[in-house]
Formats: sequence, C-alpha cells, structure tokens
Amino acid sequence: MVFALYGRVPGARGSEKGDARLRSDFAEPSATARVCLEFEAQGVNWRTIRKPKQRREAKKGSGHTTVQATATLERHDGTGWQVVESGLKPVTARVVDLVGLDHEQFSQVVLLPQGEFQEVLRADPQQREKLMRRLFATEGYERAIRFLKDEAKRRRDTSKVAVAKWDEAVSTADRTWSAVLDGIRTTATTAGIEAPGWDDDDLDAVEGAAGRKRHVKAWSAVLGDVGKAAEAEASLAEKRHREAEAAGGRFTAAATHRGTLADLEGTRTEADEQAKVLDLGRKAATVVKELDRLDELVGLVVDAETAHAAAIADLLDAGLPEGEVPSTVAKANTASTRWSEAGVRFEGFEQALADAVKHEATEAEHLEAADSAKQAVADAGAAITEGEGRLLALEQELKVALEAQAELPAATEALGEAGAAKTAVDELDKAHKAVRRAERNLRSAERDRTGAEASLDDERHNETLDLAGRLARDSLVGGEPCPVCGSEDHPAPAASPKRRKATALEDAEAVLRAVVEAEGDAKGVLRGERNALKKAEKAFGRLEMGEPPGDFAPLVKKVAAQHKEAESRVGPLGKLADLAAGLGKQVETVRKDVQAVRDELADKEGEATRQDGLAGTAAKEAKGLRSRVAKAIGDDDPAARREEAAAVVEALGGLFKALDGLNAATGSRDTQQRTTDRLVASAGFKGHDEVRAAARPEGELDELKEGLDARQKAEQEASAGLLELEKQGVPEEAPDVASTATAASTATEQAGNLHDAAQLVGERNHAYEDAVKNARKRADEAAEVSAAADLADSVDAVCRGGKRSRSLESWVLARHLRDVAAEASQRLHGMTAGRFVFTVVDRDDKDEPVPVRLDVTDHHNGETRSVRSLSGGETFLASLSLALGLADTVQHRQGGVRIDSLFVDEGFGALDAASLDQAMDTLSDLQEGGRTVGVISHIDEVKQRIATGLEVVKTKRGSRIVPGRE
Amino acid sequence: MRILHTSDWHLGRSFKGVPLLDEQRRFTDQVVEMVSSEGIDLVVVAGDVFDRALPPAEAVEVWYDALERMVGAGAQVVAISGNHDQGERIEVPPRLLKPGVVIRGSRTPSSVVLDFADGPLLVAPIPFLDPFMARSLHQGEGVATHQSVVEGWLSVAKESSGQAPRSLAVSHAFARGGSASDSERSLFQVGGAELVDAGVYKGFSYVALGHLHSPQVVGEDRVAYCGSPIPYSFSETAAKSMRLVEMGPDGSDLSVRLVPVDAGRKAVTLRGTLEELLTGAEHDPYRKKDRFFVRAELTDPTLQRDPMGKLRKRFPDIVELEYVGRAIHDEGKPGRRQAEPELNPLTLITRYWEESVGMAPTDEEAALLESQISAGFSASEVPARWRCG
Repeated sequence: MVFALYGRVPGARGSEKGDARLRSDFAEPSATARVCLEFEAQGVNWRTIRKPKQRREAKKGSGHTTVQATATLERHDGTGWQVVESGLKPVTARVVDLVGLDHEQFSQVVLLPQGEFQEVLRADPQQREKLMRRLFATEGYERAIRFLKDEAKRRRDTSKVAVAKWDEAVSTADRTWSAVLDGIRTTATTAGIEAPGWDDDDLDAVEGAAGRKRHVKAWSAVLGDVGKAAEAEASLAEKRHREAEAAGGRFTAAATHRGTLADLEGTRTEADEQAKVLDLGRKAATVVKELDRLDELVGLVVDAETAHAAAIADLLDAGLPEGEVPSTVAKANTASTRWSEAGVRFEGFEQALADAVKHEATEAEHLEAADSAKQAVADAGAAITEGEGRLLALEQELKVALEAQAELPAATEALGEAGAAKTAVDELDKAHKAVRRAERNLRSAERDRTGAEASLDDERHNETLDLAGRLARDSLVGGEPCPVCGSEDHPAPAASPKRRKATALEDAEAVLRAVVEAEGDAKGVLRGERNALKKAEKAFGRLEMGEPPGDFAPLVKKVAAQHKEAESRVGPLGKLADLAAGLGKQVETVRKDVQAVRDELADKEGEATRQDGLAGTAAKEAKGLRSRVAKAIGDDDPAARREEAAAVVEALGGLFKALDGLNAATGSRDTQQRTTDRLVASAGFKGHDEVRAAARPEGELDELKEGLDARQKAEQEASAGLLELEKQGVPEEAPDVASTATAASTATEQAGNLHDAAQLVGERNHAYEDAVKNARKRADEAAEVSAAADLADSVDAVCRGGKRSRSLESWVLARHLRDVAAEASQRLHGMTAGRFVFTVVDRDDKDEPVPVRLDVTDHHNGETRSVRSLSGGETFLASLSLALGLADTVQHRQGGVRIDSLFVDEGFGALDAASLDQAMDTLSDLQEGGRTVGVISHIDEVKQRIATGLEVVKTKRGSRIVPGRE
Repeated sequence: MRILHTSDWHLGRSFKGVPLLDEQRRFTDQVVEMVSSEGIDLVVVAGDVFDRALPPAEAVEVWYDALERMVGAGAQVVAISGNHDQGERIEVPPRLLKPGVVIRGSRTPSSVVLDFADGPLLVAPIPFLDPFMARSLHQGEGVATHQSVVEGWLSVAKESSGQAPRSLAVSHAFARGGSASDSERSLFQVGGAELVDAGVYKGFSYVALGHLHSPQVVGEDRVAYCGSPIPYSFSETAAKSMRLVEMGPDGSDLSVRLVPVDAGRKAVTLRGTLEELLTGAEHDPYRKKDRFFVRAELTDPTLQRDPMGKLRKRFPDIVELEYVGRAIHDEGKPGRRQAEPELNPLTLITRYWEESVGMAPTDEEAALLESQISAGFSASEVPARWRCG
C-alpha cells in the first residue's frame, strides 16, 4: 500500500533491494509485477498504479530485460478512470498533496509502528536513540550537525590558507624592494654618478613603505637631471649628420639631368618628319566622314524609286484605269474621295436585298402555322363524334342500377325476418335438451345423498359398539355395576375393537356433507335451465308461428331453408345499387369532355384564318425592296462593286506614301552633295581620292601625338631641374656621410641608456608599490576569515552539547518524545483503567542530561519504573498507546489532516486472553471514531472478532489472497 | 404459560482479571431451581451465552450442564447467539439436540412452533446479525444496518412460519430508547447505525431482548431487556434480576414479575482521599471478601505511595484505582501540555539556541544556523509549509 502511494516500501525494506522484493518469486518469469491501489481522498476516488523497477525474462527471444519503474495517478469522474498524473515524481508529489502526509509520516502514523515502539521500549539507550531518530525523522538534525562540523573545519582551513597568503605577500614586497635597490645601483654605474646610500630600517617592506618611498623619490630627481643633458648632446650630432646627407643628394641629381639633355639632341630630325604626317592625317579625318554619308543617301534614293513603281502596280491591280493614275499627292487625294463615296452607295443596295430575303422567310412561317391549325380542326371533329357515342352507352347502364337500388330495402327486410325465426327455433330446441340433462343429474345426486346417510348411520352404530366394547374391556368388571348407568348387564367385551379407521365417523360425516352440497348444486342448475327454457318459449311465441311442435327437427330445417333463400336474393341487388353513384358521375364527366372538344374546334378555325393574312403582308414587302434595287443598278451585284471601290481607295493610300518618300530622299541627297564638295575644297585637297589617301586610322594618329609630347616634356624637365639645383649649390665633390652618422648614433645611444635606466627603476618601484598594496589586502582577508572560523567553532560547540547542556538532536528528540508521550499517556491511562501513564526522563539526579527515555508510572503503587518491567500484554498496550500517541501528535501538528485508516501489524501473539480482550476493545474504540482499523494477525480469537477480512492462503505456487470471510 | 427471560450470561468472562465462573455456575443453579419451583415452561437466553467466540472449556461445560438440568426439570429452552459468541458455534447438531431445545446461531431465518400444555407458541429466535455478514438479508437500497437485517430476517421467516395464536421474539440488539452500561461491547459499525427500532417487533406477544446489561423496558412491558445476571462493570450498580413472564393461550393476559438474582459480586465505586478510604467507617461494609468488587477513585492531588497495596489490606477485592483529582500527565506541572503545531526546523533550532545559550543568536550565528538547517533538510524532505524563507 505504501509502495503504491509513495513508490517506496516502509521502514527497513525501503532500499533498492526492497523494491525488487515486490516481485513474487512464484510469478511467471516474463510477467511484470504491478501494484494498484484505490483510495478515497477529499471526497473523490483515486487510483495509483506503479511498476517497481524489476528484471524479468524477455517475452520474445532469450535473455532478460530490465523494466523501469513507472507510476500513474487516475481519478474517477463518475463514469470511468481518467489519468491525472504520470511519472514517478509528479505522482508522488500529488499523492502527498492529497493525503496530507509524506512517506515518512504515513509510515509513522497510518501503519502503526507499535512493533517498533516495542523495540524502543526494550532497547538500550544507544539503540533507542537510533530508533527514535528514525521514528521522529530527526535525521535532518543529525545531518545539520555534521554539516556544521564540516563547515567549521572548512572555515579553519580557509583561514590557514589566507594567513599563508598574507605571509607570502609580505615576502614578495621585500623581494621587490631589493630589486629596486639593485636597479638604483646599476643606474649609478651607467651614469657614472654616486648612488645615495640606503639605511636598512628593521621594518619589513610593507611596514616601512613610507621611508622607502622617500628614498626612491630623491634618487629619481638626480637621475632626471643627468638624463636631460645627454639628450641635448644627442640632438646636435643628429643635425650635423642630416646636413651632410642633403649636400650629397644634390650632387648626384645634377649629373643625371645633364645626361638626359644630351640624348634628346641626337634624335631631333626624326621627330620633325613625324609631325608632318600627323598634320595631314588630321585634316583628312573630318572630310572622310562626309564622303561616307553621301554614298549612303544615294542608296536611299534608289530604294524610294522602287517603292513608287510598286505602288502604281497595286493601283492598276485594284481596278483603276491606267490613264487615271495620279502623279501628285494632291491628285491622289481627290481620286480617293471620289471612289469612297461610290463604295457607300453600293453598301446601301446590298442592305436592301438582305431585308427582302428576311420578309420572304416570315411569309413561309405564317403559311405553315395556318396549315397546322386546319389539321387540328379536322381532329376535333372526329373526337366529338366518338364521345357522343360513349355517352349514350353509359346512360343506359345507369338506368339499370337505379332500378336495382329501389328494390333492395324490401329484400333486406325479408332476410331479417327469416333470420329471427331460425334463431328462436334453435334456442328453444337447446333449452329443452338442457332441462332434461339437469333433471337427470339431480336424480343422481339424490341417490348419492341417500347412500351417504345410510353409511353415516352405520358408522354411528359402529362407534357406539366400539365405545361399548372399550368400556366393557377397560372399565367394566364382570359382576360389578357400570359406573355410568348402573346396569350389571354388560355387553360382551370386545375382543378387540373392529379394525376401523380412527376417523371413520368423521370421514362419513364429511362424505355426507359433500354429497348434500352436490345435490344442492344440481338443484340449482336445474332451476337455471328451466328459466332459460321459459325465455326461449317466449321468444318463439313472438314469432307467431303457432304452438311449438313436439318434434323440432322438420321446423328447424324449414326455417333454415327460408333464411338461405332470402340471403341469395339480397346479394346481387346490393351489388348493383352500389354501382349507381359511380355511373352517374361518369356520365357527367363524358358530357363535359365532349363540350370541351367543341370549343377547341372553333378556336382552331379562327387561328388558320389569321395566319394566312400575315403571310400575305410579308410577301408584299419583299417584292417592293427587290424592284427598287433593280432600278438603280440592274443586274449588278452591289457587294462586288462595293469591294472594288474599297480596294482602289486602299491602293491610292499606298501611292500617296510612296510619292512622299521619294521626294524626301531626293532632297537629302542633293543637300549632302553640296556640303561635301565645299569641305573638300576648304581642306586643301584636290579631290576625293586625295582625301582618302591622306586619311589614317584613329589609333595611329594618337600614338604619334603622344610620342612627340613626351619628348618635349622630358627636355623641359631636365633643363628646369638643372637650373634649380645650381641655384641651391652643387658641391664639386661628394661629402663624407658615414662619419657624421656614427657620431650621431653614439650620442643617441648614451641618452637612451640613461633613459632606460630611469625606466627600470620606475618599473621596479611600481612592482614594489603593488606588492605592498596586495600584502595589505591579504592581511584584511585573513582577519575576516579567521573571525568566521571562530564563529563556526563556537556554534558547533553549542550544538554538540556537553556535560551541562544537551545536543541539538537530543533536544529535538526529547521535545518530540514529550509531545508524543503526553498523547500516549491519555491512551494508556484509558487502556489500563487508570493504572499506567508515561513519564519522560531526560536528566539524572545530578540534573545532567542523559539520553532521553520513557518510563511508566504505576498509580497502583506510586512508583516510576522502567518499561522493561511491564508484562507482555502491558508492553503491547504501552507500545500501541505510543503509536497512537504519535499518530495523534502528527494529526494535531499537520492541522486538518485526518487519518481515516489505521493498520496494526501483528503483536497479538504475546497476549493472554484478558489482554487480548483489552487490545481488541481499544481497536474497537478507534473504530468508533469512524475510522477503519486494519489488523494483520494470525490469532484465531482476533479473526473471530473481526467480521471483514482478507485471508492469505499458502499454496505450492506462492500465496493467494481469498477475500471475504463468510 | 410461564416464560423465564434471561440473557447475557457471558460464561467464561472475568471481571478485571478475576474469574467469575463460580458465580456464573451459581446463577445457573438458580435458574434450574426456578424451573422446578415455579413450573417454568420455557427458558429464554437472549444471546451472549458465552463471552467469546472461542469460549474456554469450563464455560462450555457449565452451559451443557445447565441445559441438561433445565430440560430435565421440564422446561423447553430457546437460546440465540449474541455479538460476543456470534455464529453457528453455539448450535448443537440436530441429532444431539434434545426435543424442546432450540439454539440458533446461524443466519438462516426460520421460526419454529413449540407446543405447550395450553397451546402452541410461535417462536422467532433472531440471533445477533452483523450487518455486513448478514447483508444478504438486507432488502432495499443503501447499506445494510442492524435494523434492516433484522427486518429482513423477520420477513423471510414469516414466509415459512407456522401458525399459532401467540408469538415470542428473541433478539440480541440495541433497541432505541435503551441505555448501555460500561460492559457492553459496542455494536458500532463504520457507517452503520447501531440502533434497532422497537417497532420492528410489532405483532409479537412478547419480545425477549438481550445485549444491554441493565434490566429495562423499551416503552412497554411487552418489549424488555432482562439484563445480565451478574454485574460486569462498575456502572452496573442496580439490582440484577430475571423476568418471569406469564402469558395466556392467545398471547393476552401478559404479566411480568422480576425475580432477583443474587449470584454475583456487586460492583461498587468509592471516592475520596487515600486517607479517607483507609480510615472512613462508611466504607466498612465493603470489606467483606467475595461480596464486592471495589474501584477506588482517589481525589489526592499528588501521587501516593503504594495506594493499591494499602487499600487491598482493607478491601480484599479491590480491582481498580484511578486518580480523579489531577491531570493525567503533568510531571508536576499543572495543566495538560498541549502539542504545539509543528515548528519548522529553523524556529526549533533558534529556540534550542536560546535555551542552551541563554539569549537569541546574533545575525552571523543565525545565518550559520540557517545554512545548517538547509543542509540538513533537503527540499524534498521539507514539506512546503516548512521551508525556510
């Protein structure tokens, strides 16, 4: 149950191995163990299903698989189970919420650990503390104390480390100071000055930082002055060297310029030739372009003349007479207008002919309609004739039916009379027969009665004989008078009473009663039948057929025959009468139909006449249109003529365009010719050929130009340069640069060394100052950490307890135990009729703390003593009280958590009958609070006292649970 | 006819550990004597013949002996099982039953007609019915209750009963209107009602009830408890008796006489300080041995030395002692200690510190204590309402 709720089994079995023990050894090797628990919480039904982690055989193949633990929580919503949570942690968390207790508390409170409490009561002090620690779940405090101890140790270690670091920092400061002093000495040597002396004070480099700082400052001042002088020296040497370099440069440059000028003089003639070619080429370039353009335009004129010829050809094809071909644009326009107008006229005639055709079609339609109307008239006439014939026939039938209808009532009446007669006769016959039967029965009954009366008389007589016989046998003594009648005349003693049934007399009486009753019944029946007969006779009389005969048979036959005849008449008449109504309706219908056809005939005749009229009108229209067209153009086809006119107009348009084009092309060509001639002359050429000869490609002219320009530029530069240099001064020989360079570098080096030295000291001083800062910081840190370590030590000392004070865990345990003992004492007091209560002892006579323990106080003798002195039964009650006390305490503390179920696991075996009674009464009382109490026991008496149970039965294949014990 | 109505013999029971079998045997002697001297036609034992479902052998011996002698003296006997001895165990196989002895323990309803000199008597011997075990008798909706199973038993028995002008119901139940003493075992079932309405027995000429140990009627003489023959608890201080019922042949002319029973020791409670009880003259009568079970209620405010031993010298049959003037568990301090609501570990440790050191922890100390608690109680172990901060 606990596993189902929390995924762990309670107590000692709650280890990994414990879970595996949930799987039965007797299960199928491949079966998966599963635990399912249904419970009610907060008014709702819930269900948890868990699988413990387990190994089982694989279902397919060989080998084993490990099934991982799973859990689900379901809630019943009235119709079915709905999964609400799944997964180990979520389900457990939810269960804790619902139940209000976690796994530990549940194990403490619901599964009463009275077995463990028994252990607590009997255990030695160390064991007890361990047990109680588990029961009251104070491991947390134990862990807390261990944590504290570790923490104190950790802080102490940290403190040690911090102090070490501090020492190291001070050493570093000392070291860096030594480096500073060393640096100063080196610099002094380099500069050739005397280093100031350093008096070592007895302080370490951190404490004596102030003095050291002063020393360094003084030295830095001295060094500064020397350095400045060396720098001045170095700049001067540098300057001299630069001047020497400049003079040398000028010398070299002047030589180069002179060389260049000499080269250029050598190639002058060639250059002049090239200039000439360049000039001519340029001139020709512009003119050549215009010559090309002229050639192009000449070509265009040729094309325009071709187009003009083609346009004239088209026009002649379209139908224009040759002599009418226009030669100018204006003439072409006029011709076009004339031909357009002609086209429009022909279109009009075309339209008129089309209309005439339409009218002729309409005429044909109307003629057709007239024909069909005439046909309809003929059909209608035929229908009328047929209808009138049918009508006549129906009227005849109707007459017959009406006659039959008139006859029917009389025939029906006759049938009724015949029927009544038959019935009355039959009834009378039956009644007579019944009466005779009843009379016979009565006579038989009377005979029976007589017989029964006789039997009864016999029995009575026998009875009397019996009595007499007995009396004679039992009471009468020969020779003595009868005590009843005094007579001495005794009947013969009955040798033995006749073998008679004891109840013979009563039987006979009973028989008589029955028979009398039967006779009475028969009389009654007869009366009834006689009454029936009277009734039947009356009915017969009403028929007025005379007196009823003796023999009924012939009369019955006669009446039956009459009835049958009447029936046969009524049948057919009825059938005919039914038809009458239907026939009447039919006649009416046919009459109406005939009239309708007549109406239709008249309609159709009118329609035919109308259609004929319409046809005539249409014909006249068509004829009119046709004669008009013939007058205008005779046989000519207006459509063809119209088309011809349109073609001519189009061709005229083309001619118009061609004329235009030709004019334009000619004009352009002429203009260009003039321009070209002018240009050739102004350029100085004699003719086109000359021009073409002088022309050169673009690239070539550019190249020539470039070359000539470059040459000119070089010449200019060299001259100018030479002039400038001579202005500045050109030495006769090259100056000595090397020696000035050496001098400059030496001076610079010197200055540099002094600078570096100063730098070095500065750096070392920085390092020293940093080391001092660091050391001071470390000192602070060490102080802080030591303080924390001291604090932890003191807290640890308190929590560990000692001679005078209790350790933390012990204190908490004592507190718990006190609460539980208070509750438990209430219970124990009740269970032992006021005799025992618990007492918590946590200090000895010297008022020093001892491991907490429970004793009992016996009110009967006023002593407090160890629980080990209790008997087996009393121990059970004590441990049960403790367990209940724990449960009560948890309930009080959790506030609102109600424990509705408790389980007590064994412990009854050691009890005698009275103690067992006491224990069972206690459990009954628990139950009275409305709780369910579950008891696990093998004791018979316990089983007898508890109605509901589950029995665990051992079989060869493992244990089974048998529910219900009835 | 004459009916002797008895019940709740509880053969084998002890009084606070003192065996009572001798008194019980004396009681059965009285019953047998009455059968002879008063001409009793029928002895009724309305349940709890034995005190346990598995009674000790001597108790069974007493019962069989009593049965034999009662029948030998000329009476018929009707006995049923009660809640202490419920079940078929008290029944005797039919072949061993003497005629005129009806013992019912099984739940199968059936009534029986017994013949007496002045006519037949229809008897409905209704054994104690546990609502759960007898739920098949329950008719209608809902859960079976004591009342409903008795109703069910009666309605089934009626179907096959014989006829007689008068009738007797014998039943072991807690009738509404009755009052219990301290010695009845509670019939309380979870979710079920204990009580049976007396109207259930309507129509019977007399209803002989058992279970309550104090003699009492339920509304009228016709429906009554005769009570236990000897006291079984200190609350049974009234006189013990049996009921002798006379009834006409048709069930009318009912008259009842109480017959005192003197077989057992009386139960008496004495209250006062130890000194008063040891010296007070008014308690002298209770010094007689084998006449009184004594319970002492001490009003002393403090625990006394060996009060039981001292009192036993004066009252040899003292079996119980209780302090009524002081709280049960006070360790010398007045007032009962209330369990405080659970304090979270942090508050507890602070309290511990204050007690041990004498003052509240400083901030640094408190911080260290808090981290200690956090380390000791990981989040999953500390329920949400406990978590620090």
